[in-house]
Amino acid sequence: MKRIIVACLLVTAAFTTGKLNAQALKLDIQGITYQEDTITTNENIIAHTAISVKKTEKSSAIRIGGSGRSSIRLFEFGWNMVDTDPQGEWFSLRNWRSNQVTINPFIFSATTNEGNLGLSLAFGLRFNNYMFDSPFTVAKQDGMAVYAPITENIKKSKFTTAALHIPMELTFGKPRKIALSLGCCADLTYSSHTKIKYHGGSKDKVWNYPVNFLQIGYTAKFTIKNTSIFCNYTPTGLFKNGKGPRIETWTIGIGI
Amino acid sequence: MKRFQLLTAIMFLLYGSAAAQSEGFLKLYAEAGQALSDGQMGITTTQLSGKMLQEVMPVKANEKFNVINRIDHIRQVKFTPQADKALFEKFELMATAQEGIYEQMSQINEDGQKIQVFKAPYGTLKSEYLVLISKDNACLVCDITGNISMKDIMGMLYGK
Repeated sequence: MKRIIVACLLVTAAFTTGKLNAQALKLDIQGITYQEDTITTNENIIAHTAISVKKTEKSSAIRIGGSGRSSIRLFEFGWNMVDTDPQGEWFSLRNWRSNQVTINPFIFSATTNEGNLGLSLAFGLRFNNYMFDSPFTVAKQDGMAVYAPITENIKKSKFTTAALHIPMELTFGKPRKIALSLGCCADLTYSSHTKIKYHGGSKDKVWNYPVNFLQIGYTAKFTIKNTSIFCNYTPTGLFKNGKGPRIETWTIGIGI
Repeated sequence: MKRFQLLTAIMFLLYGSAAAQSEGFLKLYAEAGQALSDGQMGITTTQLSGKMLQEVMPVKANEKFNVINRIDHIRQVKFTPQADKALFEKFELMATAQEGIYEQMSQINEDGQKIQVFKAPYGTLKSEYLVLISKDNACLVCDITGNISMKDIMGMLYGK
């Protein structure tokens, strides 16, 4: 886990360093010159007597940037639904209170100069809450996640996972105006726990369930003026094969 | 007392934002403009605002601490080898005058090129840098104001 975090930080640092070192203004005997904000393919300098502008061929240029041209939003909030196998009472949820929260502080984008087509990558954290709609919880028995009814009078019972979230999206259109994105994401789940809250205020937590460490999901997203509506589907089971029921997650939400 | 301190701070800031480039420089810059009107060849004056730089370099403008976000104004006078250098000498005299406001920060002579950098106070927490460059009988006077440092000037002259 530490290796993954260190690798992510190194990638982020490499991006940031490259960006800050860029020097745009130059002063010499020709006067102040500056370079336009594009990556050059065929450079063509048009000189004025006092100020020179480096014009660039824009048609094939790719612009590398941050969140400005990306369809991945800094904050996403969604509602979880699950497909379970076997079906039944096992893992039935209160959907409105089963939420997904995602924070993407590191967002990178590579877009065409016009911004109509782009590829986005981000590093963030994702938390999934599955709020059970009846008095049961998930228990650990011989390393397996099993259904366990609760006999006490409880206020709520839920299952939570936390993961390092790495989404990648291909975007058609401009997220600042209107755009459609398709992509996938990898969630590296580093923590899971159940929580039972009883009437009277006391609560129980049990940690470390046999959840899949790597969960791959697919995303479809529609963005208008940097606000997005998304649908995620995670076909990778929530629990490891043979260690619990097969649970696929669907999430619908908004990103800002 | 607090109100008095607040008013003083506001006045100080207003004074700072209103302060312009040194009078001496602006007078000589106006002379360059007059020389142009009189048809004198080989002199070019250019004036750029920080906002214009931000407009033409929007990606750099997104970097909060990039130098183009800290420049207020750039005024420069360029002399071709054929131009009359009397005005350039006046700029040099003004910058080096004992009683003047400019402090010489550096003088670099390299490959027949002479670069002199002078600094003067400008506004609140801001500076004015006057850069004089001469090479092969061509000369340049460039005056930059804003919340900039000698490091920024050296970055422009020699890159990072």
